[in-house]
Amino acid sequence: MEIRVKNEEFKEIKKHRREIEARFRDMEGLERTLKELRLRVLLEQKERLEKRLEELEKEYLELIEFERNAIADKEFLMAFRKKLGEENRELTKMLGEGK
Amino acid sequence: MKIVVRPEMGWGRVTFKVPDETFEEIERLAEEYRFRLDEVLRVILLHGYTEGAEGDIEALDGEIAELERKLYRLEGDWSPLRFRAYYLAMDNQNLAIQLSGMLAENRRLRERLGLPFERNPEVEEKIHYYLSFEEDSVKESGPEGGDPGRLEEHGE
Repeated sequence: MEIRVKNEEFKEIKKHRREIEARFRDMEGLERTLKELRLRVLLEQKERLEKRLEELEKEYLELIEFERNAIADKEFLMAFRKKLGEENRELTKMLGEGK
Repeated sequence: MKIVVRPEMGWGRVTFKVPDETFEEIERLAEEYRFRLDEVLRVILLHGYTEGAEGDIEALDGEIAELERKLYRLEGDWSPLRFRAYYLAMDNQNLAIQLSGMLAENRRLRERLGLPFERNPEVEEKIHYYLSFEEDSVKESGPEGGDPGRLEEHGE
């Protein structure tokens, strides 16, 4: 099996050849390290998801609040339109009678 | 099994002779901890080993799956809510347009009749808000980003 590495990495590997050979004999050390790396990956993934969920929940609540206000505003504006329409009709009538 | 390491550029190589059972163990560990074989070899060749850490991978997998489920559900609820909010805002914008015309008419009629015009700050504030309402503030906020902050400007 062949593996290609960057030139600086190659120099490091040549320099630490004996240590690497020892690592190939230490499968417990490898398992311990892989477990730690996997745990780190999962913890980072969990943190990202928690952050995203928190943001989304906040935005969702804001949108619910916006909808609630917009419903109340719609009712308020429709009631005002009705009142103003009646008043304008009445004023137009008064203006017609005055002529 | 021979593991031959070569530089990307230039000449030279370093060979490691690894017993087959050791290589099989490396492959097994790569599969168990969900890393590619080349990633595991890079750990051996370049990074070295760590002291290890306490933690339950299976429990974390479960927590991540639960968070993904919650996100999926929330994103599913988001679209219909955004759709409703957008069309409500558009309804209110149409009402605001009608009301500004009607208020202008009211002012004109009152002037002609010599009556004072009564301002209604609450109505004026809402008209102003919906007339200057930007479509994007509801349409584009959501799971993909946008500017939900603008929604906060809206007070009762």
